[in-house]
Amino acid sequence: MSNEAVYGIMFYLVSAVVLLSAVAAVTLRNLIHAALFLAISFVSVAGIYVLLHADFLAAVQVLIYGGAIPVLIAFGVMLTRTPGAAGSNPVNTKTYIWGLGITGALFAVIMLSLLKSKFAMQGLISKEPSIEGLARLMLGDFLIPFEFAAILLLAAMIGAIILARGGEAK
Amino acid sequence: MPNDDILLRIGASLRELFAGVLPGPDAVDVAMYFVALIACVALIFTNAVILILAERKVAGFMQSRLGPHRLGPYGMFQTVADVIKLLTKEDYRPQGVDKWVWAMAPVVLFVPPVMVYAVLPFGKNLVPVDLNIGIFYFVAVSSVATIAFLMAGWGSNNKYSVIGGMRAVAQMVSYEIPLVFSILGVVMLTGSLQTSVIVEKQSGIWFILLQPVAFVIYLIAAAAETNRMPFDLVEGESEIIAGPFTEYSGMRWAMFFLAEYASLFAVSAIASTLFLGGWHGPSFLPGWVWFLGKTYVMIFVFMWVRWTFPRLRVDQLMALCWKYLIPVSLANILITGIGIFAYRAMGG
Amino acid sequence: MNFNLLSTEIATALFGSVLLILSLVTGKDARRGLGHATLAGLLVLLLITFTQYGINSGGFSGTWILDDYAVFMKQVFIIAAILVVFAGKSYVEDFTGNCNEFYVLMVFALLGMMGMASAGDLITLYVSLETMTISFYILVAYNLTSGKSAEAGLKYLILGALSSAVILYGMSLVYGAAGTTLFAKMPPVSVASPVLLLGAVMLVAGFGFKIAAVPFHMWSPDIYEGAPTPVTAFLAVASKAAGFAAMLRVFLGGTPVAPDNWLGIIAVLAAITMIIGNLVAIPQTGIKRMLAYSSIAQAGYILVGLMAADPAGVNGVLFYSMIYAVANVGAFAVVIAVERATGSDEIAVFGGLWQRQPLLASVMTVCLLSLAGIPPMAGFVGKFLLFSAIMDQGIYWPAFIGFVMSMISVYYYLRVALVIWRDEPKDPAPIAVESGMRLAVMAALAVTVVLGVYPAVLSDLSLAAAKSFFGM
Repeated sequence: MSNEAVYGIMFYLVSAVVLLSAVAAVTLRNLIHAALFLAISFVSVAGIYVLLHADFLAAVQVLIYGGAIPVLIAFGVMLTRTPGAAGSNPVNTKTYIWGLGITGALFAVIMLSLLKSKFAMQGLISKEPSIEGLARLMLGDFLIPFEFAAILLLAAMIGAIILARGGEAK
Repeated sequence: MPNDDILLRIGASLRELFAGVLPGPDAVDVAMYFVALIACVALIFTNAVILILAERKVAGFMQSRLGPHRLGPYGMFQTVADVIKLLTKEDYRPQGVDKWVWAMAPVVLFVPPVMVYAVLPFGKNLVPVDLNIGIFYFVAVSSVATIAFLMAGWGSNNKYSVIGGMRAVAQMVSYEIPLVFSILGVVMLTGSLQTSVIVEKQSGIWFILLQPVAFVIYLIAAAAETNRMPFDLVEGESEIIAGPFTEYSGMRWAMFFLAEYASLFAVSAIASTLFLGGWHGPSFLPGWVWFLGKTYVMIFVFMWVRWTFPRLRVDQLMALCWKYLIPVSLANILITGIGIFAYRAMGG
Repeated sequence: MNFNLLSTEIATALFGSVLLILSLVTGKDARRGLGHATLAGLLVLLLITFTQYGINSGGFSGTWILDDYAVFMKQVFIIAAILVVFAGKSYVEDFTGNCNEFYVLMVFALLGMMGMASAGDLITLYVSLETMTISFYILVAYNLTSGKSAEAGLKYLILGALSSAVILYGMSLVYGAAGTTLFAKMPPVSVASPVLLLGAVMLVAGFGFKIAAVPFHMWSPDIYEGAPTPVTAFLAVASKAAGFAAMLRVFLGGTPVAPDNWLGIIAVLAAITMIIGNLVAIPQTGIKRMLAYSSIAQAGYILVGLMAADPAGVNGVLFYSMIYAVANVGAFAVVIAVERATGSDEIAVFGGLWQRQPLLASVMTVCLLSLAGIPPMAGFVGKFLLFSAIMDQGIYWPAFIGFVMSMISVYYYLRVALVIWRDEPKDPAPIAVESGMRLAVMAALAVTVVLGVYPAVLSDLSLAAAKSFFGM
């Protein structure tokens, strides 16, 4: 088997895991199970990054979407829900058809335009280590968004503390 | 082979063996990865047996008693007997647990430590997978362990377990930050995340001398990350009766134990990589012996701490992290940066 | 790297951080002082921006553009912030709990807006957009003891996150098709692939949310109503102007595009925004909801300027943004004062306002007339610039819709004026106006009237800015 074929098989396997666990995350009735499947979906995306030789991005994906985000979600669920988790993620059946129709149409539009477009795909994947290049981009070309992100996180942190602490009664 | 290291020789002959059987160099590489994986798992299992015995012996020593001493010389086979006992116990599932979440938690917890072993630099050319983001990979993978505690805590359907799970999350997420920041000091010195390069750069001077503050922070944060005393609030036998582990018994419970010691070994090995010069040492012993030796010294330090300090309160735990460790580690990064800049400016 | 291009932003970031430290070390008694410090800092920032005119260059590998257009927009944001702080200082002091960080978040939101005006590529644009939006999520929910405020914050968070996701998806598609994030290197739409168009449509939808254009406007009445009124004013004015600043950069700042290809979307958006915004404003009984729908309609007028896609159109957008900012903040300032005095934001409580506080009554009337576009108020000049830009291109129907809808809007604006001047007050007690509020409303009044009579002061500046936008 050629390397390409192996990569192809791996890609479809990983993608299948991503999609199936995403579907499970949406449809499962137990919110905790949904959150865990979401975590699986996120971590599998890291697999796709590995296949694309984006090693640093894959590690970041695992760190953020494997370690932090699902924990945050599950934590939120545990803190706000009473123990009856069985029906905590109800499915809205009333507008099922509408939702299906609209998402189907959107999907069709996106797929059609993707299929009809040509992408310049040559030379985009480099097998060189990506981290040095990333560092140069972040602290060079994209210095301004990098610094803005720092302010953004500071603002978000202040806000989280303010909202979590709550107000005092008059 | 120019290097007469026995492990390297075994590796080379295995490679030759595979090359004779398998098509193409890629397949041989994959086969070698499997060999490394099996070796790591084997290491984890034997290590756990040794470490549990060591822990009990150290505890006995600290508390002026003997520790296990009946089975075999100095009680050496006690752990083996314990393992057999655990393996033969009934696989009991309490009623009311969230079946899949509960059953998967020990397995999920076991995965990150095993994966971390891939980047441990056991010796020169003896890194199972020498990733160029090695240290960052360690950080990323070990962060996933949090979710396993959460699964165990939630899946057990037991209030103490949930409390334990929540404590685990709060603690592990918080202490990840000083852990990463302390590692960052070393990474700034080496300019690389690759574990083998980090060790290579310590041929002259160990980084514990250049980054003493980072070393201390790393020790504290690593102890908290592995939920060891004085940071074992997750288990907290006296308050929340072993937290997430309450509803587990037999082999499943043993998996938690195994994972704990696997990650203890992993963080100690990373400590010896980052701060203690890894495989460097006088050449009468092969590099991996030095590496393992330093790692066991680190493990001893962790045990020493465990049997010396009392457990912290939750608020003290959080205050220690957010009010002391994080500012200090940030200051350490700043000073390291200034130091590097000054060193370069002086023409170093 | 030419850090002079960033001097306003660096000053703003520093100012925000200093304010944060100040709010940390001073106690609750220092609220008033912090408000004054914020005002002083904002005025200094405004002065700094004046030194930035005429630089007209880009830097940082093309991710940052500092032309007169960006400087003008930044001044719109800063002036809006100054007026809001003047008018809202006492409102903020009424907050229970710790209100000190309110100003810090405002300054950070301001910083995000500045980034949006100067962004030269998609990543800078997105990050600064998020800086603004995240600060606003918190500001909207800042009235911590009010359920309405919390509800508004939650709604804004969920819908805002959704719109950010749409923008981000659009950006990723644009990047995938164009192979670059820099606006300057975007391929013209005429040679574009379907994916680029799809990305552009998603960007229109996402920005449409930020500027509250119909049909992406659903969030704004609820959030304007629930948020603390100074935040509503800031949100309605500065955040909307920032959305336009970014939209212009994305759609007009790159390689010249073939207008007939995509401006159709903008035209449709502009038309339905003007129609729906004005029609739905009519039956509103709450002043904040009425102003929310009115600001939706105003976004429709400004979109007409974007549709023109030439210096005259951009000139209209810039001029109108400034006028709209001043008039709208003026109106909201009066709402703040009346709300503080009566505890209600129903239009009915404005009854007989002229007897209770003639200054507020006249400011409200003038500002509403300006928003309606009645000469000799400045709003008329703004609308004239916007609509003449599109008519110069031989397209008359948007201007026609605009005129008709402006006429309709007079109805609901004057209805408030009618309540103010005709009705007898339920409670004849005079409404106190403290010095900050007095300054804010006087400034709004003066600017609205002076620019209406003598618009050249501003329009010369905005025309130069518009020309710099097209590199002329």
